Amino acid sequence: MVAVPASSRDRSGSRLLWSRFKRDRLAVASGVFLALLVAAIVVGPPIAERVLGHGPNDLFPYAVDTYLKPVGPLSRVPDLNTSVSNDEYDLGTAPPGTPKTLLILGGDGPLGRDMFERLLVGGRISLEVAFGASLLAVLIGLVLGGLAGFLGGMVDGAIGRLTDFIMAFPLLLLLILLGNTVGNRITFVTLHGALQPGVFSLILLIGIFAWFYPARIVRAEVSALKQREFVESARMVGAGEWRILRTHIFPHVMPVLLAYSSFLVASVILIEAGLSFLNVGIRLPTASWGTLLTNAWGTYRNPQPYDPQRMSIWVTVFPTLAILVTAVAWTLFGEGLRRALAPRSR
Amino acid sequence: MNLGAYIFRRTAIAIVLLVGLTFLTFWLYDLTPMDPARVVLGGDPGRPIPADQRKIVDHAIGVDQPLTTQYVDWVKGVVHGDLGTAWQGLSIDPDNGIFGTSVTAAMMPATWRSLSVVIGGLILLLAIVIPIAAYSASRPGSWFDRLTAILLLIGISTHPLVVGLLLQSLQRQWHWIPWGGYCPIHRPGEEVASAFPVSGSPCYGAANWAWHLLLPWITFAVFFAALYVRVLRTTLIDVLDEPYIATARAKGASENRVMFRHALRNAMRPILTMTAMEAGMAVSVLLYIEVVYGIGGLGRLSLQAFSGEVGYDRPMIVAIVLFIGIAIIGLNLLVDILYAVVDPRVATPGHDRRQLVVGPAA
Repeated sequence: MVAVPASSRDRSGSRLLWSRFKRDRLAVASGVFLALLVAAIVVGPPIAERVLGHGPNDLFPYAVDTYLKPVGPLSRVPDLNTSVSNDEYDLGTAPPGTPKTLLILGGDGPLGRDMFERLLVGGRISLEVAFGASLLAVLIGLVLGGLAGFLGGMVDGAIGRLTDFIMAFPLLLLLILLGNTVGNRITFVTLHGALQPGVFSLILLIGIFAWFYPARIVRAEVSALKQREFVESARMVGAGEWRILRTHIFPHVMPVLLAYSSFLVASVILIEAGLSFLNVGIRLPTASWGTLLTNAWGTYRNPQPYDPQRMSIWVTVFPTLAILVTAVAWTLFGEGLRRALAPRSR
Repeated sequence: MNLGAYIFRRTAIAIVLLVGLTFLTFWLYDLTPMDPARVVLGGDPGRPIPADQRKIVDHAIGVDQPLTTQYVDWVKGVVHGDLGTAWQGLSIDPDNGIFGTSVTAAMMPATWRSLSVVIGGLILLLAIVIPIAAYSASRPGSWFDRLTAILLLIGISTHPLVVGLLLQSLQRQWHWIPWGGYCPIHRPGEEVASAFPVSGSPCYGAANWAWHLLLPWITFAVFFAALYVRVLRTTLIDVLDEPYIATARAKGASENRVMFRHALRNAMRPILTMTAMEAGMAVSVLLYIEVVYGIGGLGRLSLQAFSGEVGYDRPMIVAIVLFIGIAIIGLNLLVDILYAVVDPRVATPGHDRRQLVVGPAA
């Protein structure tokens, strides 16, 4: 028996994938950015709160001018959560000697809260929804698509029609309608405090109606794979159906699905932002990137194009950029994965 | 299986899907804590409705019947072209029946407006996508290819409502372009003055119609351009490797002729598939576009139906779900049938045309 050299044994499977993936510098950069982002929103908020000395929900009445236009980045504003002056019209100046605090990215809107901390806290909500809903959609898609592709025949037909059915349902309308039904009952399911209120219902509702695309991908992959020689030879040596699925088919499906989930995360971030804009159905009690975006762009009853007198440009720029950059990063990351998986595609 | 049987079977399944879709909407509405009598009467949600009044209202709109009876009645109406009467703003005369907004009458202009946005947007989209994809595919990996890929990626990652409001913010600087609104093609009953007339004419006519829809079309195209360019570019690269392209080149056809006469024709199939598959996504984008640009189409109508402080307007909602369902299922059916006509293998059981396209839905 010839010993296989370690280097060539290592260049298989995930190693090969990684060596191809790392050639795509944009995708690697996106991966690093996303890792930093996740780290920042997980450990960031308490640290920021400790260092800056105020929380994401603290109001700074002196961080806005008389038009309620908030201050820009790197402003030091009087650290007062309530006005000490007895004159309710005297909002112009803070009493002398008030300690000042730093708003790194300025105020978030007419209430003058800290944009930076709210972006961190909101990012956590947005990514929780995006991860959770994508995971749920991919899991349902994996099971249903796998069944349809592997069993074929009647099961395939039934699942195919179910997919058509879900596809034809207008997702946004459904979210609005269901938000008032199921949403209210499960808003306060937080999985023992692991999630913020409202996040779970969003995950459930988006996940249940976003699985049809992953299901299609899995079905196509599985039905192509099950005709390959290695599956036939596995069956010939007596492997059971479950074993074939588990050890010969799913390992090939997973990377494709992983690349797709990355795109899915990007789109769920956008869906969540849109729901906040519609301001109907599910309302998150806490800040998310979507609600920050509505600070800038208004809601559907009152859409507001940028108005320099009333709104600081930064209020518009930061949440928009946060969503944009994160969505682009997820897409580039997924694109890099996809290209590493199919090196022939250019 | 022959083609006729295939078309018949698929159409029958489509109708079953539509029935399921609308019944599900009826059922979901029944689950919501909405009070139909409250939707009709309006008023302070804190003050209870007198029992006799509630009885009259419930009887007039039929919600005192069991859900299945209500549904069957609705289906009977739809078969006769009557989608019912909207609950919001309904007035009830115990002797002569009910008077209110006819859902059918409200849906028709709204559907036409939505179609104007989508069809115009699709045409603009193809006008943008085809040259970009053709140029990128003929020079894969060039700076043009990479730059457009990144720019389009930013386009798809920006929420359509942000794109729309951004364009409107720019419109404040460029007043010569209308911010939105809708101008009908045909002269309306009473003349509506346009804020931005083309050559001083009032707001109707094809030129005004297109001019007012320009920003909505751009918003639509910006969102979908990335997906279309990617699919078309990948297909074109594959097609350009085919032997018949080499033959065309050997015959002395110019590069432009090879691309536009020979390659593009065969690369349009996945585009057709994707248009059908992304129809659901287009509905969501349409909703944002209509809100931002103040176009009274299906999206606006649905938000109106959902916006009642006291409750949702079921006849309106069901009609909108039905129309959107017809659009999406019908488009998929049409594409399937077209494929079956072109390629008879499609009409065999177990074939899924969608496996041709692997790509993200945004």
